[in-house]
Amino acid sequence: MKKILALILISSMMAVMLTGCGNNNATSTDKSTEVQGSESQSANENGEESSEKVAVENGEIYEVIMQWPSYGDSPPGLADVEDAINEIIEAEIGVRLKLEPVLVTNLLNETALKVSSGEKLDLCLALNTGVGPYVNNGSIIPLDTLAADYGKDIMEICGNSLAGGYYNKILYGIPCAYINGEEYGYAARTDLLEKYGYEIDPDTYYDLEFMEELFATVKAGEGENFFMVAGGANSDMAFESSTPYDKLGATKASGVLPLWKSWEDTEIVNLFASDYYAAYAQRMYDWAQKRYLSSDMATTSESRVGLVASGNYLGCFAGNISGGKMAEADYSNQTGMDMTLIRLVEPYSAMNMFQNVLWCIPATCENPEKTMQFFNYLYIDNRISNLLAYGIEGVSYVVVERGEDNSVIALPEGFTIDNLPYYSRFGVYGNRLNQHVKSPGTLTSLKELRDWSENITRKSPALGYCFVSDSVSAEYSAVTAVIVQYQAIISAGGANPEEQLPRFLADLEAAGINKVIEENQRQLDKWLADQ
Amino acid sequence: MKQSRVVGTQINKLKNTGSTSRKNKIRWKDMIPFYVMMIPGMVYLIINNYIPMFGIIIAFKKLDFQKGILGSEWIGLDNFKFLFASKDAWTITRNTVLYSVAFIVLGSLFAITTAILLNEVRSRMASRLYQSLILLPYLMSWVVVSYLGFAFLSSETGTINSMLRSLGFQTINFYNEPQYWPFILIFTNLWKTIGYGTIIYLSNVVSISKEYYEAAAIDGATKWQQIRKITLPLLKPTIITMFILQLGNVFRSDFGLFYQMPRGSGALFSVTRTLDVYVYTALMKNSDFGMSSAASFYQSIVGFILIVSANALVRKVNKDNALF
Amino acid sequence: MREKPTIRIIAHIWMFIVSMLALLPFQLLIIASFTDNNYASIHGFSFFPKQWSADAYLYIMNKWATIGRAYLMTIIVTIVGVALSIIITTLFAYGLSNTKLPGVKVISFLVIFTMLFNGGLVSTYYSYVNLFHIRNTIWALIFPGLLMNAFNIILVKNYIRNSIPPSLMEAARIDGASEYTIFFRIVVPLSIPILATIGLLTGIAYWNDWQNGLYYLTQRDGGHLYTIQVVLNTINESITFLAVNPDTSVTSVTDLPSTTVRMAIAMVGIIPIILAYPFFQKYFVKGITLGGVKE
Repeated sequence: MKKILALILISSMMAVMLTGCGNNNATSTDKSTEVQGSESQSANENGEESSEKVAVENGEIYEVIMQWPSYGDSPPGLADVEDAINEIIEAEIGVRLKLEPVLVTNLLNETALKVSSGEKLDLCLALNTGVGPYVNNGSIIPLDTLAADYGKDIMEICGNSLAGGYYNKILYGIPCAYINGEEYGYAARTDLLEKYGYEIDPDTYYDLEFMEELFATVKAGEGENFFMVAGGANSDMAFESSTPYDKLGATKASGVLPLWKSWEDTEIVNLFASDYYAAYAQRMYDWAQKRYLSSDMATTSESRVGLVASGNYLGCFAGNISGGKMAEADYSNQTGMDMTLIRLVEPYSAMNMFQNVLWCIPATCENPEKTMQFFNYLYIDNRISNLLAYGIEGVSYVVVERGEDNSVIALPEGFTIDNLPYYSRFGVYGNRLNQHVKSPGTLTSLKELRDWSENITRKSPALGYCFVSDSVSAEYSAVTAVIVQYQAIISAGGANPEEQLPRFLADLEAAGINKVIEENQRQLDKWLADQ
Repeated sequence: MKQSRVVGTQINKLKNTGSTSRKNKIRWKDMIPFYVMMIPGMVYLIINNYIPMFGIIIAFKKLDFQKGILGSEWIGLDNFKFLFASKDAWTITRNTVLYSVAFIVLGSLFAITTAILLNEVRSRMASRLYQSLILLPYLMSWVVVSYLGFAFLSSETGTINSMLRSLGFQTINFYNEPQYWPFILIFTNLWKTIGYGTIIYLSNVVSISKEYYEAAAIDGATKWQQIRKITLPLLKPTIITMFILQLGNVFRSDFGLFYQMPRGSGALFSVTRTLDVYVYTALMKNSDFGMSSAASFYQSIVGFILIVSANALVRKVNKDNALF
Repeated sequence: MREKPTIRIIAHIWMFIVSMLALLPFQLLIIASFTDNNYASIHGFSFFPKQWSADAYLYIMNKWATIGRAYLMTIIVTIVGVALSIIITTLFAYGLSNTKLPGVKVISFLVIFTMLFNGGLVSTYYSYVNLFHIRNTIWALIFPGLLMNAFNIILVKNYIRNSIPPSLMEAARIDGASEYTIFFRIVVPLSIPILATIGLLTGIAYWNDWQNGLYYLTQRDGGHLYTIQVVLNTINESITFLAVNPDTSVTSVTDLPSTTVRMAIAMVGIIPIILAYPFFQKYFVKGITLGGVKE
């Protein structure tokens, strides 16, 4: 009897294991799915997620699956937004959009896994990583011909910023259309500025000497345990916010163009060996000694804005502060206090700025032409991008002031960000200069921004060039590890640079930074010659 | 009678000894139930571990998803280069190994001690309470533990530094001074894992029949003698097994401990950077499946060699205690 | 039989010290999760904060519906996973414990081999998704990686070999009992302590796992299957993301979750285990004593 029992037990377990295989489709919450034809995208898979291979109604409609970056939650109104979009685009271009929420830190992994197992994905987002990692593992396809044939409007609208999507001279990614350059600075608490009699002129560009003077005054008044610069771990924000330079599409590990010295020179230097950096390191150490910087700066767990909000800081180096009044309002919102932006670096254009948001087409896209067609449409019809960025009018936002193309909008009464039916935390869709404006912006805010953007004259001589690290990847990784080791402490002024810098430089050399820079220079010279 | 059943020559072929004496005859009919019972486990091992095992080759390839894992190009040991490209490769290895050894030795020592002592606690309620409490640290993630550690060690607001300040001493910026960290890391890791280790040894201690102790007590043995002569010897197989298993992980380290706890502070790298931390920082901006796979393979191969060697050694001494 | 109390006193002292060392940081965790975040930024976490606040929990509770369902999922997954795991592991270990079984050494080696070498995420994902289609099913939370592992097998195998007298099993065999009977009637009851142990370890592993959910469940079609740790982990990740990518032109940073939220998250994940654990402790106490008790 026990034998039988055992056998039953074991077989039921097998059954359990096997039924697991077939249980797949039951939980799909898709609405109708009309997928155009093809069952096999690539030779080595035999199943896709939620593959109801239903016969198509009218064989024209192609479903585009597009990643939707999120913080882990799928907003309840997502399907409604999709419907609203599909109403427009199904008729116009015969495409049906399906949004797929993905945790924002998992975008790279998610795309890689999907492609590796042959699952269909049409548009993927590379956020703050550049297209390099995606190209390196073969997840995405080149877009040159596609963009030329079906994406003419994108190329026109994006203009300069399209440069960010190039890798190894091939176009792989498309940025959202926004501004042509960035300006940098520091965000200070308005109440403290007023208290110590500082008037900040929004059209003047200050420098670190001025900041030091400001710090000295405020510090003297606020005392020992009040700090001037809120910094999170591993952020080199003081440097980023005060220095124009070009990372050539990669990182500091492969050398930079010293734009603080010259806008024409194309010789790549080791940033950390430069006099500029030595002076910067000394200044940070000095600031730490004077307790403008907290001694916990490199290891605190709180974010910059969180620290400022706590009330113990004058402000923080804010990095990219483009956007004038809207940026200021944004910062004030985040910290809960009135903030003033002190501009430190005049606007300029460099490759890395355009690599933050890049939309790519993965290898498992079934119809790249139709996908590109849809994507192009996203840039010219601002109804779609407004829907993606803000949701449905009246439901997820209300119009404060109606304009011709776009309006000033605000949250509906009684709603916060948490309980909105639809809320996108990421400004990554379409032509951002042709969308609604959030109050307290005004109808002219975007035009001002556009004008400001067009007037940016300072450009890096290497705009459009991106370093490819393949041939020196071992050294590149080793150098990256060295930078991680030393950079945080130096930017927090935690150790005397006279001892640290020599060691830092020696370690960089031992890891092979010169080899990496040589390779970078070689590629850059070749690219310049080809221009 | 079952014992006199004669089995065919098939069995003798399988047995390496080639002996045909009756003692070594295998009664297949009796063996079948064992195989049947092992089927679910084996099926799972195949599905979960052995089918995906081909992924190991990624370490030797330039992975290109458009060509697929099998179709990607072989590049030999190129993915391994970055592991040795740092001039600190020796320090990193040294850190990894020394900490692992310290954890194995100290961890076992404390866990065994705690298990034995916990067993001596007569009060049911106290015993249960202790058991629950010592498991708490294991349940906390390293990120959270690092925040608590920060509460202690922080330069501005930490407990230790506040005390130093009120006593008039110079504050210590712990996250800048490497010399304290071997102690901090070892202590924290012991603290976090002692519950886990204790429970494993406890289950074995608990199974030792009370009769042995009673007999020894009648003979006049003290508690300490009882522990030495009964408990420890009976725990020996488990101790040896755990030891060999842990050897397989000597080149691995708990990333949470070595990266989160020091809050990623570069100044401490000379004593906190293990192989896993190095791989993480090197591949942070350049996430390359091939290279991370190579790092994992490197750790596995070393562990494999160690386990096989240790197992062979143990087998020489006492065949039963060996793992395979 | 008088026993000198010395060992008991030593035991209590030792256990007390260890327990206190374990408890105090936990208390700090609780207090930290109720500390006002601004106060904590300035003064750090301490046992006696001057400003309290339940904001961190309110922040999490905003997602209450998700969390309620996530708890339910976690409980289901843990129970089913642990039950299956104990069954499979013990059956397998019993087989391995038979030193005379042909091929036992080879199989043992194969088991240990899996502890060392792993195919990696890419091939595992490919196998589970394409060959076994577990995406967006509940099996995605139960099968990958956690259902059985070599370590547990070895623990049980050793326990059976060392703690169960073979004479007991031999006697039953001579009496004509089948192996299955021996397994269910003798081995299992005597192995309760080790089964409880691996049950606990597996249970904690299931409870704390967030990777299976992240990789195998998509937010839209599988989000309703998310376990508590997956939900909490996404909040954690968003904090990390904002810390590493402070470019606010792209990401809107309002309603930023803070450090105390991380502490509250940890509490939300740990408390159920703490509450449930005492109910299972009785299985760790001495197993059924030997000495001629017939089943």
